[in-house]
Amino acid sequence: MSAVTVEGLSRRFGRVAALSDVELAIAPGSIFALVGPNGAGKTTLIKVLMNLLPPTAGKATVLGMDSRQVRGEALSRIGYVSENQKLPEWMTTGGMLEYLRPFYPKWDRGLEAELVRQFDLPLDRKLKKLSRGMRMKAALAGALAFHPELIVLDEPFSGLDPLVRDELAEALIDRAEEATIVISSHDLAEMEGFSTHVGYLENGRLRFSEEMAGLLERFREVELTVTDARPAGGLPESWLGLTAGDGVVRFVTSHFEEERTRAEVAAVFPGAERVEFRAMPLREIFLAMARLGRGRNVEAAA
Amino acid sequence: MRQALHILWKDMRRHWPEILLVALTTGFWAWKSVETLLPEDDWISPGAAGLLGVLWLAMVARVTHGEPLVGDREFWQTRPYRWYWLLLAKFSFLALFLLGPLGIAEGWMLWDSKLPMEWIWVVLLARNMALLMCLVLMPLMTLAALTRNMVQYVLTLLGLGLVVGLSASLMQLTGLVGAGWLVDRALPLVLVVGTAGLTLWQFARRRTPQVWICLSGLVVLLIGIAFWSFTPLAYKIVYRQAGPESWPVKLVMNSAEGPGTETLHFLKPEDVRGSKGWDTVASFPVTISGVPGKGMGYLEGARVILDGAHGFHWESGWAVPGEGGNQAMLFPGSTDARLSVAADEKLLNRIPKEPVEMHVELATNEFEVVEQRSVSVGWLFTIPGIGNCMGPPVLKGVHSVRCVTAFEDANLSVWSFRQSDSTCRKDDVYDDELNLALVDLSLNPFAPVTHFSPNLENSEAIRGEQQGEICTWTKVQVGRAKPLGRVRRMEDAGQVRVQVEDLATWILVEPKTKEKRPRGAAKPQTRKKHRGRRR
Repeated sequence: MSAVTVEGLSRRFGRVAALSDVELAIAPGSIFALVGPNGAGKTTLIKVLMNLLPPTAGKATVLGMDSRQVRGEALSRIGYVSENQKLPEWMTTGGMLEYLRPFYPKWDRGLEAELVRQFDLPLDRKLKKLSRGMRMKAALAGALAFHPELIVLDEPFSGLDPLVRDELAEALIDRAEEATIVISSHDLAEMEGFSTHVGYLENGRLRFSEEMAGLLERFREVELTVTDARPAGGLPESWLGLTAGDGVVRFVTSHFEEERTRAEVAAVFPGAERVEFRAMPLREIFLAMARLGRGRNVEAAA
Repeated sequence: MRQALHILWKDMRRHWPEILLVALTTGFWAWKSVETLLPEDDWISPGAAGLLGVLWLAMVARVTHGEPLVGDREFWQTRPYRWYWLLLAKFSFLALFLLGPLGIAEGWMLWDSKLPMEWIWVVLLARNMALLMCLVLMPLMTLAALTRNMVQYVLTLLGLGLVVGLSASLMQLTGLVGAGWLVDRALPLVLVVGTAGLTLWQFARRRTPQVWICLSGLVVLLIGIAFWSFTPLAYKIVYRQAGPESWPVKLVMNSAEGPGTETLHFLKPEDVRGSKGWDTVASFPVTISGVPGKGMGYLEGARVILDGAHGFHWESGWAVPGEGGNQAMLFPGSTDARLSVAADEKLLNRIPKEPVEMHVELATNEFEVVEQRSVSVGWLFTIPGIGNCMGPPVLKGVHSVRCVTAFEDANLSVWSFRQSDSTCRKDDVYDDELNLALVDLSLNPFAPVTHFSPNLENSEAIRGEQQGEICTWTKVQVGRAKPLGRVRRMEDAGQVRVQVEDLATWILVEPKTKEKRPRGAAKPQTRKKHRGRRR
């Protein structure tokens, strides 16, 4: 059974559709990176999963229960941290952790101490006096110390320095064995490093959702040298962002299989002399997809 | 429950400076109120009361905003809070740290006023606290639950004040029909039921089945209270049927026309200017006797039942007799009273020509006088069992004695005051008359426990005829009565004729044939007056 299942989920804010007919399944034990440009609907999807917003249509299931039932005791199985969450800033870090303990039957004092040590948290300082990174670490400590079955993080790395990002990522990887992690982020390099799965949201629609390794294998940047840059026939659907100039043609293929791609190239550009394939990091895949989406929006607007 | 205690403990640790400030201000205010019996001559006590009011307003908002209920970015919303424990924690905080100090201060004031700390005062204090919670703290809490921060809260409060003020002014200016209903019934309803519903709705952010059940219950209650009259049922439940051991009360209908020819004159106010919304009312004098020597009481309600030929039967609704005058009081021997009854469509469409049998059902609150003492009125004096009082020793015209005492419920205990050894001339109206000091339950937490002013005024006759004369009251008879019970009894008033007349004709054309109304007798009553409670 999936840790999170989303079926035909839509969420509207008046006339604006923040999510449209999203279908998603997140396997237990996976680290699922939810990526997409600003305004794609990532935060809305997470808020629906956390029952902070009700869906307009469709349904989401979280740890086997309808997202609308995620409340009270059920929240003791889910650790949630968001970049824009309002913390009780009048509390000290130690005071907040102490306050949270009785809410969770599975709160682990040992793990709490370990996280405090790992994050180097100053227990006697008020949250409002902490830096952004420290506050995020304190929030994460409070969301991990009770061995949650599901960890939901909304843009946890936003605005943090690389050192803090590494610390947070390390802590998450440590927890990965016992929990499913859903994380939305713009820090794609970090995501690529430890995510096992990735989903791409654009304009409220889920464009794809698959294993990270498969995705990285599927996307390639292709560069070829041609004497005639005019295509001999129609371009395959999997070719994205084709550019040509000075006898060089570049594009991204989203369904890379070396032999098949070579055959497609030969069919479209029969005079191609040199064909090179380059593996793409997640960031570049994201950018290619985002540009494509923007192009689609422009076309739609036109 | 542990969760509620945990949240409460967190709030206590966070707000301890405010808790301390409220406690100190409450203590100071209580001390000043006891020390100064006439607060109008002193600005410190009202000042402390004002500060306490501001602290209450701020504290309710601060505590509720500890876990803001508006928005979806709040830390606590994704933690395993149970909404009902959160709500309980917040209510407990307000009860402990706002009502608690006030209750203690009032208890101390009662003690200082030489009032025996009997259980009844504890009950009354608890009831007052419950009412304060429902009518003051809960609405404020609802407002805080609907706002995100203190600025929004204060602005909304000011906006609401403006709307209420403007609405009240508009109602007064336009004389809107139904305004009385709005004030008497709708406003407390909206306050209690509406705020309870909104508070529930806000606290249970994720709409659980329990919330829907609670809200449905509140809506049913709201509709029930608004559209269904509970009055007959209330009288039936609260007032027990008179038994053989009850007072041998007898009611005789007085009439200018003489015995056996009594007429129930219903006055139709349609053509009288300004009578919009008035009922068609009959007001008739009666004499009630049978109250034993040490007894006293008052009529809480009365209704008329008419039975005639051809199956004619009509029952009026319950009405509260009198308008605060003594005609509704019951004293040993005979007491003259005036009862009013409003006609409805059922009667107006089918007025019998022949005389009909009239029965009057009375609901009486009965007391037994257990203590009487003579008290010298001085500038500052103590009435044992009541408290510290203040009043000028020489009274002329309308004067009052002011005492600090407990909240006193007329249904539980009454005090009577009677002039003695006066140099003023007495007249028939004043003789043997007990001015009951029935004290309203105060809902104002910022006034002393209760200031009540037993009216020791001279009669109008004395004031008018002996203007300028100094009346020296050296002694006042003070009596205390304990409640015996609430009794319902059906009295046979004999045969009467029923007539409906035009009020305008009655006032302008034919006053001679009508009995002259005694001072203080009921005028044709408006709806509001019918529903008003006599005090």
